[in-house]
Amino acid sequence: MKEHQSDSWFIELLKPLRDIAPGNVHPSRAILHAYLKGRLPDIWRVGDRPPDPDDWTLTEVSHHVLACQACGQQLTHMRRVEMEHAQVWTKSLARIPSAIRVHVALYALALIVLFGFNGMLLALFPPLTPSPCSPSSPQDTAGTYQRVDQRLKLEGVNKPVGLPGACPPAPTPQPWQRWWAPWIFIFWTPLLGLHALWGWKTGIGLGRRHRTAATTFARLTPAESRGLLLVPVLSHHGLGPVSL
Amino acid sequence: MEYDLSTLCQKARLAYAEHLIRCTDLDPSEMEDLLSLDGDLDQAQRWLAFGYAKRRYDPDHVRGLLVYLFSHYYKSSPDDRSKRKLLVQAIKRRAIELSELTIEKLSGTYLKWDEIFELVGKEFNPSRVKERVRAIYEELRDNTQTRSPL
Repeated sequence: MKEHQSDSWFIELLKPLRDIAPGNVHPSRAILHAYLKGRLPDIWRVGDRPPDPDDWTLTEVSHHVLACQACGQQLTHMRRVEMEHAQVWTKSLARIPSAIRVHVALYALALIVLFGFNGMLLALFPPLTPSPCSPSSPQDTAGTYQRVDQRLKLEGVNKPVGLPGACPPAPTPQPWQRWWAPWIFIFWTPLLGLHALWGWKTGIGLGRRHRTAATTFARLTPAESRGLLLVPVLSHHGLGPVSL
Repeated sequence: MEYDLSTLCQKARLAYAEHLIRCTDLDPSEMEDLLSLDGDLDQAQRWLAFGYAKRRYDPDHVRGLLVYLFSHYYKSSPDDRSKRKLLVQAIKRRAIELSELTIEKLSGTYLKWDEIFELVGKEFNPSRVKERVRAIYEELRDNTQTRSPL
């Protein structure tokens, strides 16, 4: 009440707009939808509206709805529908246990990071395709045979000698450059899902239920036993024992 | 479409206020003539005071004050509770920005100050901002009086 009195200087400014007659030009449903989604142009335009019925600015729709009961009711209805849709989504998400939600989110993130990393490696080290090598011309072939013959004479027949037409040793592709690399990640995902399920069943997770249980447990037991019991959990995640 | 001058000016003032909330940076000195076309210089100067305060001080503080005023004191259809709920949800999810707001979207939502601070992205002292706006209005009024031939 006190704030209302102190704001009276400002309230004097906020005079409501005069009601618009029903026979006037009204924004279409599509325009109202675009208004709700914030997709209308935000330009300064005051005065007579242009003749185009689809040409509305953000401010024009705002002012029109404030002064037009019919459009105001239509917008109210559209907002209610939007809120009901949002509530359906929220309820369906709330039905999924929090532990699974956290695990799925974490592993989806891990998968994205791994795919990104794999993509980066593929970009940095593109897969090598060995090309068949053959002598480019008959003269070259003749020259190669002469050189090999000379080397055989000099080095003796017991030493290994490269035969004409044989390829020079090509670097072999790295494991991450092979075609089956992405499939590993695809198979890895169900494993991660199983891990999430296991985490949810055994209570090792980040969900609210598990966090509460861990906190209760920490309050009841001495620090040494807490440390001992945390070892298998931390080892499972690839970390060493931590003393608390 | 028929327009009388006072309605047109009122619309222009509200449009100016809306643009201040969305921070489209209209120059207040260029708006003075349009906002006072109906001869109501006092009303025009009150709105212009917001524009000058926004340029002189932190613009987000002035925008936050305007959000509060329109959300609490501008007349709205009484049964639109979904508007407030949707707006508050959007603020909490950080899914809405000041640049998307209109007077219609704010009217009757009765936003609390902490919700406005979240929307603006910073906290401020509303009383100080109000004082500053009023002080600028006094300046504008004094300048007009000294300029007038009386």
